[in-house]
Amino acid sequence: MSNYKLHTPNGVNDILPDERVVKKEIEQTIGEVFRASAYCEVETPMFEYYDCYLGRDGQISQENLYKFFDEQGRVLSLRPDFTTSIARMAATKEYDKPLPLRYMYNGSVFRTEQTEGARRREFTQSGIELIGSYSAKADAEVIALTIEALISCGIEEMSIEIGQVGFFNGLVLQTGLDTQNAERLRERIDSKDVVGIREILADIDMDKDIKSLIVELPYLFGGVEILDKANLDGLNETSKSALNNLREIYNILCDYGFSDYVSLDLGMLQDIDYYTGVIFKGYTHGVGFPICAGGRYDNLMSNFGAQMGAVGAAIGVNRVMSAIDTSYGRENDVIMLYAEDNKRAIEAARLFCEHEYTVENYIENGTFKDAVELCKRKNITAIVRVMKNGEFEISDLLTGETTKTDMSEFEDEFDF
Amino acid sequence: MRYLTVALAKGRLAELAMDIFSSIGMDCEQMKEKTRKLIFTDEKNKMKFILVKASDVPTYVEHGAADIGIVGKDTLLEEGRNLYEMVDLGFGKCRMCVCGPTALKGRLDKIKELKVASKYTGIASRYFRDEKGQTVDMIKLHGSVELAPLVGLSDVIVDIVETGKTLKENGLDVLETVCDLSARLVVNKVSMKMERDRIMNIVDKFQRICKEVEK
Repeated sequence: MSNYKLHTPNGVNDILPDERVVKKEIEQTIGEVFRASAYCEVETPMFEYYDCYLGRDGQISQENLYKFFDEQGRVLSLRPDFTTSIARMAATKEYDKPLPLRYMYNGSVFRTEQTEGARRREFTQSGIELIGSYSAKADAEVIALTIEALISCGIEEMSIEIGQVGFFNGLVLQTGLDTQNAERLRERIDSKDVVGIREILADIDMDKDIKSLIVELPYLFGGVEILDKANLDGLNETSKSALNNLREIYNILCDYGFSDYVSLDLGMLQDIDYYTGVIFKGYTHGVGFPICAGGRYDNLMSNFGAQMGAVGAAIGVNRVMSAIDTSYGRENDVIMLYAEDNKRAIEAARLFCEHEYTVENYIENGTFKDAVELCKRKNITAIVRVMKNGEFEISDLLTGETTKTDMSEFEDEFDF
Repeated sequence: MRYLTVALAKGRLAELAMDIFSSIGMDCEQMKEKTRKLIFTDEKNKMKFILVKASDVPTYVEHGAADIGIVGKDTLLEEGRNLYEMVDLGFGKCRMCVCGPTALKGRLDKIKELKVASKYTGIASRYFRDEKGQTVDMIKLHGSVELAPLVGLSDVIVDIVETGKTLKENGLDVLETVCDLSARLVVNKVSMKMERDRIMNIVDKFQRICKEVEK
């Protein structure tokens, strides 16, 4: 039998001290960007009634939810994302607040993903939701803040791909395909599989130009020029307004100065049961999966009894960690404190902490020499020996220099 | 410039794919030598070629360990990975079929608790469950699948049929066709965005060559 107690389950892992420093810094950096644009931080429960996530297959299908029961036999589920919970929260508890509502969050989400390699079952999302607006300005704000947050984290090279599910939905109406075949078509387009698309459309009698546009959809990605390429006369209103919406969002993002990061992809069609308008995903070098994703989900709010527009984005913090140089930001400013006199040492420790030093107490029964030895093993470069008479002996272990001082002298130095 | 990495399914597919890569100006000479090396580099074009087991190609490409992959549609269907399937290479053509004793022809729907053996249990399950709406018992095998109906392990098998010769020699017949198969060029979704020009250049050239071959 395997000794399971020594291992973590597939898809979850420990975040060790050095990683935690980097991760926290990323979370704080992202949070500051969002907070500066008036997004308010909220927390939602780690698990909810399964019903909360029902009827939203496509984004995260029910197979990917962790389910368990409460004491009355009701089905509960670990949260697979924050968006659903925040939509529920906003619709049921914040409905009387002036619109639009801006929320931000940071925390773990859980999905029963296949785990070989890079996929995790518990991972951290940092994101925003902008609720109560249908405008393209809202879409652009969410995308722009996501880009800004990623730049602040140190990601310079990235590509944010923007699509619009309304464009595809309009085309499907014109094909007259039933739900099942429309889903097969969506899947083939999302995989850029022209052969598969042709097969599905083979026997359909429809506008020839529109049909070849659908076959071409996998290749309709790139700069803003693809919007002209896609803008055929035969399009219906749904598709046309989707294109206009994309153009508007694109123009606003140019005003933000982010045109270099943004490109368009009309064939990007993941998760479209859930999203209703613009969708986007962000990529960078060295990470084989999107580092952020989001979109407009106007139907989700009405699902909880409040008919209003909403758009959101989530950044995958673990993926950002693997995209950036994680060696930054780790400065060792720890002082080891060796006490000849306990009471004085405690006072000294308080003084150092007040001045934002990190103090590690030597708590073994060893000699001062043992403490210095421990410093070397721990890469700590400064040790303070607090003498019985209140004197400090401060040793810089890199230079070997030792200076003598006492509490009041030290305080004066700080005051200076 | 970054290296673009191409994952090739070991065997005949790799050889055919190398021919195309050579013909569009890549240096594949290293690979034609008999060697046990699994990774080859074309310094001039900044390309790397790696040889992996067919069923692992989608994994390498989905995770971005390879940017491009050459692999059979059967593997793609079975693995169900999230990647771009850009070009039908036209070679390696064959069919995924339900095969069994001729006596079962046209009677599959009537057998309750049909036992199905296959290497491709994903494809087989989806076919019976989603397309036919039939509940079946699935048995996963790793080779010599034709044996299963002969020794009573299963009623039928789902397997790739090229010429049908192996089937005939074992007294089996094609009962239903699940789908047509051929080799595909697949691309990692992130690579496509980050290295669009270089990848689309390769995709376009492959498409042109494959169209010519079709003619």
